[in-house]
Amino acid sequence: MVDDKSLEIMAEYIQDMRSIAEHLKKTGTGIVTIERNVTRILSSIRLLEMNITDVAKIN
Amino acid sequence: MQPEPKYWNTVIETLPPEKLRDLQFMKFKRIFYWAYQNSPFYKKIYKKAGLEPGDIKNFDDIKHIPKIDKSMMKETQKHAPFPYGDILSVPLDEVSAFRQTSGTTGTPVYHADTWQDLDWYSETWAYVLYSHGYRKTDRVFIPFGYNIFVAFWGGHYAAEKIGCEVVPGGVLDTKARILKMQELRCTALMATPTYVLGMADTAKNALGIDVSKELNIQKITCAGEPGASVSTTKKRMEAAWGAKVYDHIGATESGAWSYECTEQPGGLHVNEGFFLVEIEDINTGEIINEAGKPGKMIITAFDRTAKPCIRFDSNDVIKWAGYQCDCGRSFRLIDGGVIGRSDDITKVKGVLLAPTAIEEVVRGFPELADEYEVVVSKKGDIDDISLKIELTPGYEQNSETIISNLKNQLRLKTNLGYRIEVQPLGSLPRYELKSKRFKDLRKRG
Repeated sequence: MVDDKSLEIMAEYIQDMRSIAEHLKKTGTGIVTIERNVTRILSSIRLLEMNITDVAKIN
Repeated sequence: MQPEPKYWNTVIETLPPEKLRDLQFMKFKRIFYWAYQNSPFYKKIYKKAGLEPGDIKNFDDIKHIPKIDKSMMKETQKHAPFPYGDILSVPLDEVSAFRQTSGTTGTPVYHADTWQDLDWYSETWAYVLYSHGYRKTDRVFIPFGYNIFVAFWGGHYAAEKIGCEVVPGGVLDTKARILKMQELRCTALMATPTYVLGMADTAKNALGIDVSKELNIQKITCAGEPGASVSTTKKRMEAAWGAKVYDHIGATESGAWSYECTEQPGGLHVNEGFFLVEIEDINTGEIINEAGKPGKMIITAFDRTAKPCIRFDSNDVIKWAGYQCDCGRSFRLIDGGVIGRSDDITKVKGVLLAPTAIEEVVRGFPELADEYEVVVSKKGDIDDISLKIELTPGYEQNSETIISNLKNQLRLKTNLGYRIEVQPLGSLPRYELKSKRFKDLRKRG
């Protein structure tokens, strides 16, 4: 079992990653490699949200 | 050195049941809202039922949400956008992969996946493979061209994600695949039960190779057919390969929703963090929560967004297990995998017959070769079942005794009488993907 505090901390890191990725995508608008690669990064972040953040939300 | 983690995701897989239920409720509401907002297909269904997202107030409300089925998915394909129809919940230019069902029951269902959905698909497969014991040290052989079918794409990318080395054996023929597995000392294999047996047979008869001794396969993940949960078929595969055989269940429409773990308690865990599985009484439509009572599976994939799968009536018949697993996962178990498809479980001479019951008996006879075929037809007004079998070499002289014993076992297991026809070895059809061994000719109008 993972304790609630660790879960909360992991969820915060995941939120930070999303925030950074979205900022990068916005800043890189018009640079196709940034737009497309960040889209893929966001897909991976979404998986972390399904696996970790969603559980933190119900606690 | 850190001990190797036991689970792919200890956070979800060991979540206490009451928390799992909270998680499922939150995720169900989220996908319902998503589909309502983004899919004209779902919105139309829900509006017709007088439902809006705010109407789901507690877990029991879920059972009142209208179901969808395969025929509805096919019908929606007639609408724009081509070729998916108005079930599509993202702009068409966000779709990055086309997949489809095998079309064994008629027109195939087309599936749209975004990068996000493909990542999700692989993630559900990662739960499967990790629970089967796949680790970074494994070299995995997949003896199929994945083509337009999603399952082994999921298996491929999940194995990569776990850290395995993946060998895609698609363009090779069966003999070349066996030799490649031998050459590379592959440790794991994914295939349909039919092909697992077929490859062992080809290795022995065409190459003189005993795959249980001369190859290094230690675990086999089965897909596409119920065989890996049919105990006699599983034993046959394990004996042929000298490897552990694991089952998993998935579907193009829903994703990979269930898996055996290495404890193998006789059932499969439902991945309740990513799916809601409900079992519905075939006659009354009531939701079944007690163990041992079979019913149709209704499935919801919580996180698939381009083509949401919400309360999909899969036609698969399953039942909850009445036992626990020692692996520590809190996910519920279904007993013995998929019992059959509700449209395959048919009345013969007034008796309900599941094709897996015949498989269980036939595969329990070492005197019988791997292939068989069942044909149900009408002789006048009376139902007739013929079972075509092949004898294992060396048993030809005992055919009368074998047939008599087989008839007795079949009657005990299914309460029905069979006409047994012995066919020459190798004459019955061989399959690579989904087999079609059960033919009901009475359904041809």
